[in-house]
Amino acid sequence: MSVVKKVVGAREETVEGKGVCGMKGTSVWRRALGMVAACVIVAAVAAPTASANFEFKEVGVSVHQPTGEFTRQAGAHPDFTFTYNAPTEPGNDNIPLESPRDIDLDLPPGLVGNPVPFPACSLSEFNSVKTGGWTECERNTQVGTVRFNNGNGVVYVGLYNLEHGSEVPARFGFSWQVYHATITPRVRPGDYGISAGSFEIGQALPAASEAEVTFWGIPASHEHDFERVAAGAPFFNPSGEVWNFLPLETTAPDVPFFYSPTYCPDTASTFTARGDSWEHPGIFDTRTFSTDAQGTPFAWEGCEVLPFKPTLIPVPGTHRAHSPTGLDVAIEVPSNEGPEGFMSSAIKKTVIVFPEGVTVSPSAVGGLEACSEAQAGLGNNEPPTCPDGSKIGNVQIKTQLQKNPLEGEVVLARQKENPFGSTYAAYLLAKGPGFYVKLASELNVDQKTGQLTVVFDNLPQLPFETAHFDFRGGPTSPLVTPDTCGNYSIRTEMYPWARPAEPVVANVPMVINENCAGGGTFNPSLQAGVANPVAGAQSPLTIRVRRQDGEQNLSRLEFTLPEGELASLKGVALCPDALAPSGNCPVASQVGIATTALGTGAFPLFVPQPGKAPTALYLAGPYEGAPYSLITTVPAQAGPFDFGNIVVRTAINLNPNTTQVIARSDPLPQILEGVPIAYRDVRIEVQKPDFTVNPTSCEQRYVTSTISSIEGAQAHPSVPFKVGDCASLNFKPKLALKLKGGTHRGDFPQLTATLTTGKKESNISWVSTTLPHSEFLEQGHIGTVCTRVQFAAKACPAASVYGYATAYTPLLERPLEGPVYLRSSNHTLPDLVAELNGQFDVELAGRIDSHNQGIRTTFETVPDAPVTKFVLRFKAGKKSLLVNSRNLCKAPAKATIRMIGQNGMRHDEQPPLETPCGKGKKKKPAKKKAK
Amino acid sequence: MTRRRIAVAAALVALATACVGGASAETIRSEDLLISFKTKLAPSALPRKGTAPINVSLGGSISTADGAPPPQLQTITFAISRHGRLDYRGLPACHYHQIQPASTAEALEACPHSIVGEGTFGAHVLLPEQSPFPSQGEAIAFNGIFHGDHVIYVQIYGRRPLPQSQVLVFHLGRTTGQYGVTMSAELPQVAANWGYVSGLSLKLGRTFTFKGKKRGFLSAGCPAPPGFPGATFAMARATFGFDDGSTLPVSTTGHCRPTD
Repeated sequence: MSVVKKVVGAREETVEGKGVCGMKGTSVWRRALGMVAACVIVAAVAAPTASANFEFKEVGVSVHQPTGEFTRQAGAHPDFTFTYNAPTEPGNDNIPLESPRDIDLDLPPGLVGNPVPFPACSLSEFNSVKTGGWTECERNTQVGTVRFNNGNGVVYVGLYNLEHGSEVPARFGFSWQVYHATITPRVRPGDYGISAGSFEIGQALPAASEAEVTFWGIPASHEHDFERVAAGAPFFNPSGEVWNFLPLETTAPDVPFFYSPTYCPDTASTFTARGDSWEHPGIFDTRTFSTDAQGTPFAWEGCEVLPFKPTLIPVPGTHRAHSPTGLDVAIEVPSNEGPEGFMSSAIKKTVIVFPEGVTVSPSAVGGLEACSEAQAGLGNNEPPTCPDGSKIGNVQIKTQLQKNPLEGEVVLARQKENPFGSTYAAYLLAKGPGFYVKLASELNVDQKTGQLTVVFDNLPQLPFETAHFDFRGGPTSPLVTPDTCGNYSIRTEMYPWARPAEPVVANVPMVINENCAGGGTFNPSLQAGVANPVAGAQSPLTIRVRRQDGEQNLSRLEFTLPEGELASLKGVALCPDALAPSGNCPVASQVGIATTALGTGAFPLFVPQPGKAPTALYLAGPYEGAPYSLITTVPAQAGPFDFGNIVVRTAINLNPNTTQVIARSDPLPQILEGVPIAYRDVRIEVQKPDFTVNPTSCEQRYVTSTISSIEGAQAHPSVPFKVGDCASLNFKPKLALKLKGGTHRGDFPQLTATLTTGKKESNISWVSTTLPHSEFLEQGHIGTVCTRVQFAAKACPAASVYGYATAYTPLLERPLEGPVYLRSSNHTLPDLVAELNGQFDVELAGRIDSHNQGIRTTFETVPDAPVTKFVLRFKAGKKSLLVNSRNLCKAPAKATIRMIGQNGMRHDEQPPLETPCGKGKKKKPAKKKAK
Repeated sequence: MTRRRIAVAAALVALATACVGGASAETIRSEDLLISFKTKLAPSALPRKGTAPINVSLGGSISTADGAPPPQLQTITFAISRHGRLDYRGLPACHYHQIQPASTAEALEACPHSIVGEGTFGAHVLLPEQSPFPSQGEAIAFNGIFHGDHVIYVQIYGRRPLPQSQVLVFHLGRTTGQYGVTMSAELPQVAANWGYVSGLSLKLGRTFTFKGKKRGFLSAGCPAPPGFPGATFAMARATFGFDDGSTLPVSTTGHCRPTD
């Protein structure tokens, strides 16, 4: 493309010489003489240059009153004239140097003609050649005049509104004798201005060296009575002053045909004219001008008087609370059909602000697709190729410029890949005759509240009467209504092109008065269970929380598993801390999956969606004071949206007394990219093989929970949990008691208790050990006791430590071990408490009392956890709590052990106290006999 | 003094003796600390000249007016009337290790011939964050030898809350004035520092035969002047020493009537 600057009139304009017109010549006027015009007129004079190509000698447009005076009144109905002439052969002013082939004119946006109210001349009438060559078009189809040079001289003819098919928005024509020329307007993509031209003008006849085409602002105006042509009548008026000698009235409706823009920008509007020749087709002389021949800029004015009273009424499809809803949006713009006054301003921008609580529905996303910019074809007139799944609504636009309404659809734009770079956007794609209206709408969603604002900006400056949007209803509707009933209002704002800073604002009532029950309550349900409910078996565990529609949303989940429902952490990799926040943990740390259902209505969105990334549950390290954590990674992928991973971390702790697993989640995300996440179903499946272990008790236990709502309510649903086949488990643990140190009365021995269990045994539930009467409490060795406050703070004084305990469990990599305290209790005496620390902290508390004059320690709540070996070693000597009341070696002393398994089996024994009696004596070596 | 006056005085003393009998009790208060001391002499009929075997009951209890734990008792000293006599000659002596640790039965079995009395011992244990619980036990007094000195061992055995035993070593001594024999012991800590003694009662006395003569571990005569039907005298004094350094003496009077 070459760009040449030419002087047009008094102003410097840019002239493009380009090889492509940019439009397809659909109007075939191969017989006509030569030239064409577009819509409205005035002249700008271009200095001809020596060129072998076609060029305008003069070209311009004029917007004027019928009297010829220019007008720039916005929203008025002026006459419009396009004029050009071309350099002629030397000595013959009627023959152009190059025969015009295509003459085309771009009008500024908003400058349009409206042929709909007017009768149209049929093509057969238009093409009929009567004697003398006049067309048979009726007078009431005339919408302007044409003056052109047919090679022999100037001819004056009428410009008629012609019948046209659905492929073009309008067609106009003029003819004389064998000359038949049509002017076909089209709607430009992008700015939706009108371009009109005559293409492939017939070259068989002498070309026209000049032409002047005028469209009347109000064809029925008596101002034009002397310019009308009687059907079939010859029509000449070489003087150009008066065309008819007698006025001719018309039966055409007395309504405007031509509209000036309803926009008054600071800068003048521009016109662009293009022309090429048969001798050099495709090489266009392009002229752009923004003033008329007198240098008056096309600067529209008077916008302040233009009426603008549109209405925008959004109507949700339901009055039910917390329900999916479709949406009907009706826009009406009162039009001025009469010849007097001004037309209403076109709408530049509409804004719909939904009340808080009306949000995007996740349920709508399932199965939805999105349309790319290329598929929508924004900026071109090609048919959109958006996938059917991207359609979210229909649109019908009724414009006074067309007999039939424009039909189309609203499609979802691709996330981020849209003109706004936004998460949510939509395209309005409506088909008109020969053009498409393609508009992008931004859907602004408040990231904190989810409040929706729909914005259509830079709407075409084309008048329309109504626009009706119908967004689909039903369970997968795009929107959801507020959770609670009430009187809401939808704020609408409509900005006119005439006065963009003066919107018409309205608040449209939105009443939600149905389905009010249940709103605001909070009564979630809980389900939990294992796949193989056999005592002591390894089995996947599932926990599920469901919330009814309309209830307060879930905020936080806390589960307490039943005693004995544990997991084997041995050999399970942990998700590194660095990866934990992202949820992109290694597979080796995965222990399960999660499934969630989100949204409102009968068909919530289930995640993961088919074909989308799977969810995962990973084991991770310490978090929020807990020794372990679970990371739930839910890829927020649904339909065409991908919001990354939703990562929820859950602290995993143990009740130190019961070893019950306590899982407390972080607050659940409530809104994602502006879409409130209404949790309907949260299902956690811990399914890693050989990971979870069942209790060995067949008593009915419970999975309990504390489920918090976003509004602070709490529910505590629990569900029974029971395994069976406890009888198949053995229960034969061994407890050995061993005394080290002195065996004499008054000695302070060291007692070591060692418990061992076998495979496939029930865990211990209750154990009591009564020392023989030979062992008294040595109260003088009581240093102090650890208070419960100190114990909780892990600040027990050293003097309160009386032993050390170690527990070995197959579930953990390392044994649990720690000191043994005397700790304050609610019993008569302080408790004997083993503080077992390691991968988890466990407390094992035994009540101390006397039984049959023996010191008895009873562990009444032994956790239902597998322990293969447990060693409790008391201090010896001056720190021993025991003193021998007699010589242990004189007679064996037996302890009394009573144990009850978690499966209910009893095991009692009276093991002897192992003492060093007899072990410390060394045999005297036998004297060797003397030789 | 006319016979009639003597008769009236004797009648008043007899009345007083009859009213009080052989038992006496005193309670003193020092701020909120309440100490009660009870004594009893049996029999109360004693020879005006010479002595006869007696049993003496000594009982002390410590409490506070506001219910707060009292200070810890560290020492206790009993002083017995100078009219009394303590005689352990001929009594087998028991050794500490024979009766500690031991249950009452075991202690009795270990030193059956050294028994010189019995009683009870009470304490309260107040552990941090723990409800106070009593610790009580039986007490057996043995004639004993401790580091070469004659002592009285008070062996205490309690079953509850846990089987445990203690031995209080009462060292014997003499004092001047109204009192003669003294018995002093340092009390062990009860449950480390968390316990406090709430009471100790002992009934001392035993008769035995030594060298063919019947003897009493404790013996006394009635110091009633001739013609008087009875006498009132300083029976015993208990001195309680606490961990705050304070000592509180409490004394009782005794009454006797001559057997002749």
